[in-house]
Amino acid sequence: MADFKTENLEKVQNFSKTIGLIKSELRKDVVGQNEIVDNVIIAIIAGGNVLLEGVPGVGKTRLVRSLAKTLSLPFSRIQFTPDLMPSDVTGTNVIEKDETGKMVSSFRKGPIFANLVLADEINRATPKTQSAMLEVMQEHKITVGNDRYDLSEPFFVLATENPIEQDGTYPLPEAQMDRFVFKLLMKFPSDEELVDIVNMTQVTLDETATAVVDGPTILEMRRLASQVPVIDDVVKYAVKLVSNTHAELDKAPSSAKKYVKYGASPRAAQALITCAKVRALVNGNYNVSYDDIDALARPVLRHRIKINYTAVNEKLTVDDVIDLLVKETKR
Amino acid sequence: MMGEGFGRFRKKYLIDAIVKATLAFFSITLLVVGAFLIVIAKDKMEFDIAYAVLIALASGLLLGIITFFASFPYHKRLAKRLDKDMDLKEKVQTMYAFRDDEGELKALQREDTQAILSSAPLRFTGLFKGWIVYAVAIMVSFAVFTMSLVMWASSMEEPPAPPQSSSGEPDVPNDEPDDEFEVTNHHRIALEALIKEVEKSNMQDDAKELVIAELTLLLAKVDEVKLNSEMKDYVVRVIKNVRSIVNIVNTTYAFHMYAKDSPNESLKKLSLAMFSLNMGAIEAQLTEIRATIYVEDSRVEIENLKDELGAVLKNAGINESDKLYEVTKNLHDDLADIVDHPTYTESGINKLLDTAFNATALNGLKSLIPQQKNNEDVKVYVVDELMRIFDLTEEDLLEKDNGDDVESEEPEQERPETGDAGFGEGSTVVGSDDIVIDPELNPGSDIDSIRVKYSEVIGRYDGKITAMLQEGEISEELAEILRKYFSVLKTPPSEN
Repeated sequence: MADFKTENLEKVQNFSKTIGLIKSELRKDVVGQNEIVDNVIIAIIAGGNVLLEGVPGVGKTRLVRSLAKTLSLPFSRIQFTPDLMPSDVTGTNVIEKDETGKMVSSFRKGPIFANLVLADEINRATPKTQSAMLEVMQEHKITVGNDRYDLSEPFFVLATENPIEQDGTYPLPEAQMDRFVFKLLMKFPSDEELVDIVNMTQVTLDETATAVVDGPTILEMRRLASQVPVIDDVVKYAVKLVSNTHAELDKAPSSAKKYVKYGASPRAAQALITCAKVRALVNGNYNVSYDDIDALARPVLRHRIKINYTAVNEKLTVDDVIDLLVKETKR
Repeated sequence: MMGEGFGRFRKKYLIDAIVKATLAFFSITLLVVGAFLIVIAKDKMEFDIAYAVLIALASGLLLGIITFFASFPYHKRLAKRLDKDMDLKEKVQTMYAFRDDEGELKALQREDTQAILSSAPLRFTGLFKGWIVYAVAIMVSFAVFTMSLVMWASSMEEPPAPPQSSSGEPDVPNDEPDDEFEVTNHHRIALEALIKEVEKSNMQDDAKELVIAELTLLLAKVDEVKLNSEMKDYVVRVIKNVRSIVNIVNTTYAFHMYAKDSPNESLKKLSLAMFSLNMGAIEAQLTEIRATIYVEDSRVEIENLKDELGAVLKNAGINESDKLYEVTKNLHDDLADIVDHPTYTESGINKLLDTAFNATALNGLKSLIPQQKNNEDVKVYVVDELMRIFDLTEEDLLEKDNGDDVESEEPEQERPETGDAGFGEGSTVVGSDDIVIDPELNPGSDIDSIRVKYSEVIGRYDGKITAMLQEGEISEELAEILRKYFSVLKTPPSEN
């Protein structure tokens, strides 16, 4: 019994220690953006995908590259363009000569076959290509012809969107948006942060983070995090928060009725709980609290609800509406 | 299961629940008892105190039980409260929810929480929050109870016994201090106006004179009296005097109204005798008739008297079987005879005088009845005005009626002399030495032969009245009037 407890304690201590190491390595290459870094780590451990939105040059790609190094995970980057085909993402069968000279068909894996995939400017891809990503992100499997290929775990997609250039883009449909556990907004760095960025990149443009954890460790951390207990009241609170995003329901709060066009899917509730467990453990707690749910409300819900013109007229952002909903959801 | 740390908080909260329940019990009990005492003290409700206490105890017990169970530290409730009060981020609730789960992190979480609870100081558990409310509640309840107890105790105190009145001395109320009497122009002007009204009134002159005398004395008294109670006493005495003056005068009216319809001859005769109070006026008329009967012009007077009597017979509403009707008719007929046949004989004249005497009594009656009504009206007016001016109530008059001395404080010699009528209370003995004509005696030709002192007549009349009263020949209502009348008439002034 004592050994079991000791073992568990060690696991938790290792978890905290690993998180700390990952953060410190990432900070070598990413200046500021602490909340983004924390949430990306949470998403990875929770097994979810992240949609990053930010203007060019704020460090989206650098973050993923640095993350891949830190986690010792094979990394690939897919630059989405309008002419990108699904097979360009997943891979395709090609006819080639084998060593005997016979023409054989073999499957050439696409860039998706990595553990950490950066889907850059995903909104520039056509819906067909986007849907190819959909299957991969959801099932961690690729179907090409009659063959199915499993992707190695941990598998993590970090997609980016450029909020400025909207010409020639294909906004992600809601179904695809729902596959991302978080949508994170990378803000323009502050002056001090920009000074640090400039100074850092004068030395080298390459990421300097080193590997501190590997895939199996991530999987173990994921398993451990899933064990974090959460009481029914907190689960109900998360469910209630998601329900409150639906204005068509009778019990919806006034802010939902006034500002929300359509609300979040049940996946949002799943994401809230799964990620809250990781967050609790990352913060050294052994249980999920209401605060964990509240802290994750924005990244989980902001891409899952649509605000109406009333909110736009009143100059409210989706984050403002989420804050109102959190306020009106009673514990 | 939940650990020692949780256990010590549970114990603390259990004590908290017991104390709060006790405070709630006492607060409500005191409040309900206080409310009942206030209602009883204000005479809004008649209620047994014992029942009030029982109801209060039951209410207190009920609220105490409710408070206890509302505050009882059930595990889940306590876990929630500890998380909230100590900002433990749902640690205790999670520990409670997974108390039997030995999963890897759950056990760890439980241990971690138990360690926190074991080391957390009890004073930071937010217990103090509720105490303020309960402390205020008990203080307010106690204050209400104390106040209500004082009010109730005050209402239960016996009122002081009314002061005993000694003979001849006015009662001075000893349960409240006398206020100083402040005479104002209102008093003076109102009294002066009242005196003028009485002077202008159609009250019988003798009564009027006495009433004005009383009011004049009152006007003088207003400037002398210092205390309200003293002034009140004096005004009440004046009212009683005014009433007595008129009542004495008007007693004959009530008696005659009864007597004229009575078939009892003695009663009728007695009523005539009582009109001897007006003998002075009657005698004067007779003397005038005697003096002028032989004068030519007196025929006009005789004819006028005849017509007047005819009108009385026709309009006065006297019962035709009444003896008065008979004598009046006889006189009327005799006067008509004289007018038609102007031959005078001495016997005829004497007969005429006899009937004239009787008829004159009727004349006196004819004028007396409305006169007495006028007296009554003026009396009521004077009494009402005096009560208004001096802000008296009927209770004030009733208080003073209980054996109080009604005699004026003024010396007797200041009262005006009464006239021949012999009425009025006070200085002049009512008709004691006045000369009256005894109607039971036949004057014959000498009317002087039936002149007697009233004091002689009154004794006889008193005896007759007493006999009639004893034999039940007079109604109780009239009997009372008679008793009062003779009682006043017989009483010397010093004893009134």
